[in-house]
Amino acid sequence: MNTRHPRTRHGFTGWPAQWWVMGVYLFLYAPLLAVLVQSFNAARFGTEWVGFTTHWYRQLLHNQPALQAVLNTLILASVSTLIATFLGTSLAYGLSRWRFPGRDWIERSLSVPVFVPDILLAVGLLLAVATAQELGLGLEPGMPAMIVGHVTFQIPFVAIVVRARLAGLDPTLEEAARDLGATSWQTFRHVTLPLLSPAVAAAALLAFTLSLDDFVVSFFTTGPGATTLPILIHASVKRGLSPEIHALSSLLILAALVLTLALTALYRKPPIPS
Amino acid sequence: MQQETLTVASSEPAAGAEPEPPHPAVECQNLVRRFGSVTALSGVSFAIRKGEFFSLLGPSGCGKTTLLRVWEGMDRIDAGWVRLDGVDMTRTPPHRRPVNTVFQSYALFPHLNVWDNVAFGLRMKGVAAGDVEERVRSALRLVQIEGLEHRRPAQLSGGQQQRVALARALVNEPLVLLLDEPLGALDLQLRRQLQTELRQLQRRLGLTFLHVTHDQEEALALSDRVAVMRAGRIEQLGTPRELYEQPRNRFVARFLGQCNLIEGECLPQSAFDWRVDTPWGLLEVRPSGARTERMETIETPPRVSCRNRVTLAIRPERIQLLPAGPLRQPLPNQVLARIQDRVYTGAAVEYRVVLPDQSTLTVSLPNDASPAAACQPGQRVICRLPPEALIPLDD
Amino acid sequence: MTEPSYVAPCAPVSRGSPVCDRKGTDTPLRQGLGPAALVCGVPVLWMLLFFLFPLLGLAVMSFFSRGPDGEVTPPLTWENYRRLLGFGELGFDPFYPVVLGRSLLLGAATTLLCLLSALPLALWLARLPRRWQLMALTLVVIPFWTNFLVRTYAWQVLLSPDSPLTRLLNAVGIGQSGAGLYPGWGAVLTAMVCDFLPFMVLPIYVAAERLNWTLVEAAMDLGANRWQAFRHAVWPQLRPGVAAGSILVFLPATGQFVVPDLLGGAKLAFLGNLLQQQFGPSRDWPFGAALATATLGLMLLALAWRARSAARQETHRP
Repeated sequence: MNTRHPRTRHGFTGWPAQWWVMGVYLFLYAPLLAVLVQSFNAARFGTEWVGFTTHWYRQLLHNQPALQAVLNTLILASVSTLIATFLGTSLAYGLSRWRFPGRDWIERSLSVPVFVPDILLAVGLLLAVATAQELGLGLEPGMPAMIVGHVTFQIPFVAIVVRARLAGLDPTLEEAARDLGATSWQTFRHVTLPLLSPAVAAAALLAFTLSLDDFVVSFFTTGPGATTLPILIHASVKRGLSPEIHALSSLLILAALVLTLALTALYRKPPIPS
Repeated sequence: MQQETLTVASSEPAAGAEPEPPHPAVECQNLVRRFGSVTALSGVSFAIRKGEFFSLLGPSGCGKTTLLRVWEGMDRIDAGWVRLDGVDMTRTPPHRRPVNTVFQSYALFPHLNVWDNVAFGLRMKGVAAGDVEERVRSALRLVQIEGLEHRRPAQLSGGQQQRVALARALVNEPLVLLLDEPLGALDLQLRRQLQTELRQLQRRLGLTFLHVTHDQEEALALSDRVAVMRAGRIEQLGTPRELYEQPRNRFVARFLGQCNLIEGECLPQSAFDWRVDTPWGLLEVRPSGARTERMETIETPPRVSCRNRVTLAIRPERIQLLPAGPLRQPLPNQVLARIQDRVYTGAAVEYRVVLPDQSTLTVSLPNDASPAAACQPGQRVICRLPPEALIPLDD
Repeated sequence: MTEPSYVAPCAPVSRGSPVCDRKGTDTPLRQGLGPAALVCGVPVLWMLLFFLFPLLGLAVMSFFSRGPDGEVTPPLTWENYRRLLGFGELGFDPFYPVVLGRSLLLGAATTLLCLLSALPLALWLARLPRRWQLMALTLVVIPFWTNFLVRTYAWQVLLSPDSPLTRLLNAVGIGQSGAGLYPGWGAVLTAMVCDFLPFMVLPIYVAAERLNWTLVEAAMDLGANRWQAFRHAVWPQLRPGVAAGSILVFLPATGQFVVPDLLGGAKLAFLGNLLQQQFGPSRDWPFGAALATATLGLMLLALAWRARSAARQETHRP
């Protein structure tokens, strides 16, 4: 299984490769660095460096719309992740346990939404919401529609991640549980789910990340009072972003870094009981 | 030996106290299972007595694992029925069957520690917490792994994992314990030791064990009775001794240890006395299956009729080697041979001898101080094949 | 009770023989519409309602016409598709086919650049000690936590003519003095690669993680140089990952609209912007629907083709 040979050199890990890798990381983080630098730039307009200030961070505390947008973004990401994780996991579980008409068809088309450009999904949702409005089904543009949209693109991601883990699960463990007298539900609850939990957590994290990163789907489904951070940014981006947005983004990057590093540390802790 | 009690033993009267049990612990009739065009089981029937250690023995792909899965309820069958303690269980789902399994890979739950693994079955059935505690403790004592309660399976050795798997199954007091190659993953030493323990445990608890293995030595050493399987059928069912000493056909004869096969033409004298003409001389054969058991000789009429061609089997250790004096030919059941090869295996010496028609026999002699054990390649000897050691085969 | 008193005297023939028939390698799927409907019903219904049906709705709508106030009205027509192919009211104008071609070009260029950057990174990741691997991998994904609008805007800042980066690039002789990559193709591509890189890295990393390095050693042992070893021992093993990553980048990149919108300047129209326009300011939903349906059709064709070639590869390699 593990066929790595750390001592042998193949020329793929030599210094040119390492420099290249460092370059790629730098490239990935260059925009974040730029944002960080700009957040301390004293210039009110433009990007010319004028001087160092923490003014924008203090200013941010009084920027009610920005704070509201952050809150909306987090609500949207959390709620949609919760729903999508539940639905995606149960879809993956069902697909891996039962044979039923249409199963192969679903299995094969599971990844299609992942590949389809978000704008197509967004336009479709726009149509769905418009139709629902027409029919008076109560799905108004705004937070509910945005949640629906986000869940729709999250479900396939979650299902694919969980499905992969399910495929790698030793089926005799579930058989052992049933052999020991556990019903189907007890088997799922006490054996399958605990063994699946790392994958479910990873899938949820992925779904959350995708939700934070999304702009297009939100843009097409948003409504009054449901301004999220990306919408707010988009509205002001043509004029140039205000320094407060830079400060806000920097804080978000910081939060992301801290959270992921904490999660990695947590994940690395060996599961040794007392 | 101190009285060990799993509650099972006390709740059921000891096997010996009862007269004859009204029905077998396990019974199945005409089981058929097909996978597409492959038939994994084609009409398997047998019954296991209460308190019996029963083994299913066969090579890979013979259908024994399928049979086990049918017993567990993990696999459906296409025809036939299954009864446990007289109750039909053919359609009962696995979690409602009074059987538990020790899996080949142990299948211990990696996210639970030893204690929780063993307690799993009881908790699923909603046994009261106090009872769980007591029963888990006694099960752990039974398999001698106290003190490891808080370890995870990954932190246990192979032997310890095996014991946990055993405890996890036993604690549920199953009517039948299914063992799927339970010692397959262990090294030879440990395997020997656990074989003995397993056997003692089974005796002490009076439980019914259904054991699946491809290791003929293990099956012979552990079982009260063994069913030898091939290609979805039971080839022969009997005590280890019957199987080894009276194999029915080539497959069984060869699968249970080494075997010499001799072909010849059968000249019937009487039902219990044959002459078989071989290329290198005449052999007297007692095909009756006469054997001594419990101090009395049981004569069973021969299963095989004396047709034109007949195949005889003889175990290497039943052949005697005599010094080749002046040739006293032709004596029945003796043949002049030359030693071709000598293999020293410690407890025994194995010879390969060449007969006049260039066919060979394998002879195994105890490594004692006798002159026969000291023969050298090239030496001429006389092989004696005792009439009662020659077994006529079906095919 | 007597133990069977003998141990079989014959040498055990089967010791160490392959362990018996492995069970459960093909997960036993249970037949059952009932429980499956209970478990899969809601998510499947969800995807039907909010993914499949809306897309089908778009396909239907693409045959309608636009009313004077932007409403969707009955006369059924092929007009939208004719327009798409360049046959508008004013005679033939290749505007839309050119936009389509430009979008495909953008997708292809992004995919290629992503592949070039991701390949060494993924191989390097796969060779890291395991505890660093997770960390390094997370570092690839972290930028996603800032919305991509923010990153896109940051590139706008970084690549504008008077930014320090542009001056640095100019100083070492890249680009014309005083001209940044923004606005234009250069800026669009840079930001696109930055956005889509993780989607290329992850699948290749998964393939590289499972890579059998003994093949590389064997190749080098047999006299292959580094390039040959890569070409014949590494690349074939990475191919599935590269294919998955490429499609994961190419299709969404082709439909991307915000990045070209923000960094491309006013002159560069892409499929994405065009779509957004029809459903936004222009309010020509039927034409937008035709655009969307055509795009989707092309993508499904690409996916089907890829699935077929993947299946063919499977059969070639047992």
